[in-house]
Formats: sequence, C-alpha cells, structure tokens
Amino acid sequence: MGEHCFVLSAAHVIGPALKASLGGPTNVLAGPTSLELTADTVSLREDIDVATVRITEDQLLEIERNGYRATRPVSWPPPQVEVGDGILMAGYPGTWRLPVSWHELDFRAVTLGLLVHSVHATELLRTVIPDIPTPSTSASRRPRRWSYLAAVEAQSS
Amino acid sequence: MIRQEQVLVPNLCGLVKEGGPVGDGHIIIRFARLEDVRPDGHLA
Repeated sequence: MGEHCFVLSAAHVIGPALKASLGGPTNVLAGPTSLELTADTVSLREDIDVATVRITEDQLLEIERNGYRATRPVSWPPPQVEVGDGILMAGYPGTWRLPVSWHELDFRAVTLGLLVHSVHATELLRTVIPDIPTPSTSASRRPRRWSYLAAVEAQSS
Repeated sequence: MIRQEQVLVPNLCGLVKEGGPVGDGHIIIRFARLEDVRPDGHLA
C-alpha cells in the first residue's frame, strides 16, 4: 500500500515461524526472499487468524523479479463481498499436502471461480460454481464484479 | 473469430480459512476480512 510493503498471511502460519525465529537461527522464505521475523516486523491477531510481515521495497522487487505477483490495491480496506460478486479462490488445502520425502512437502493448490449466492454472519459465504458466461448470458446472470480470496502458506527451515 | 472482451482485474477481499461443499451444489467458505489490516501493514 503506497510506500508500505508487507506480506499478508495467517496467524497460524506466521506465529510458529516467529517463535522459531526468536528461538534461534531460522530461515523463513517468501518466494526467493528471506523474511526477518521480529516483534517489530510482525503484526499478528490470533482471533481473526491474520498476520503481516513488513518487508522492504527491495524485497518486494526481488519477489516480483522471480515471477511472483504482488497485489497493489487501489483502495484500502478492500470492498465488502456482496451477493452477485464473482470470487476467485486460491489456496493450499492442508489435507492435500503430500510428504514427498523426509524433508520435502508437496503443497497442492486449488483455485475456484465462484459466484456469491449469500453472505452469512461475519465471515461466511455461500457460493456456487457459475456457468461460464456466453454472449447469450443475460447481464443479470453475470458476476457483478470479481474479487479474490487467497490463502498463503510459508515454509520455514 | 476472435472476440475481444474487457479484462477483469479482481480485488483482494480476504484470506480463506476453510471451506467445502454442502451437498446441494453450493460451497461454503469461511474467510478473514481485512478491515483490521492498516495500510502500513499493522493490525488494529
């Protein structure tokens, strides 16, 4: 955001990585970049399971140079999700993770294009996989706008 | 024939926590909203 750069992740990912970093030499990676996890660079809220790690602009450029895409929102906070929105969801389900060898995990990814059918409580969406729009699809059946939900996993060693 | 359409750029709206099908063709998703993340990356 503006001149501020940070990695957005989950508290259940960054929490253990921060604990390991504070306990001794630990290498935490975001793509090709080593993250410095300290009380100054990490913000963490376990109640909403969100964490951020501040990075420098040079680190961000290194991440992008290696083929990763950074998000530069035009406004913040993000817009609320509403009925009729299209959602692109991407993540790495824990149940799909495969131990390839004693020191390697295969993080299998899932991506879904969904249509928001209803919004419940504070953080629940009921969605449906939409028909692929064609030129004959009426405007009322097309997603009003598209947003995306992301899940981020970090590797530490 | 090549048909040119507008390219849509999605906005980040949250972090997925869990989700799955509920058996009637719908998928329920639980996610974290990002209102508490300040523009400088600190969490309120």
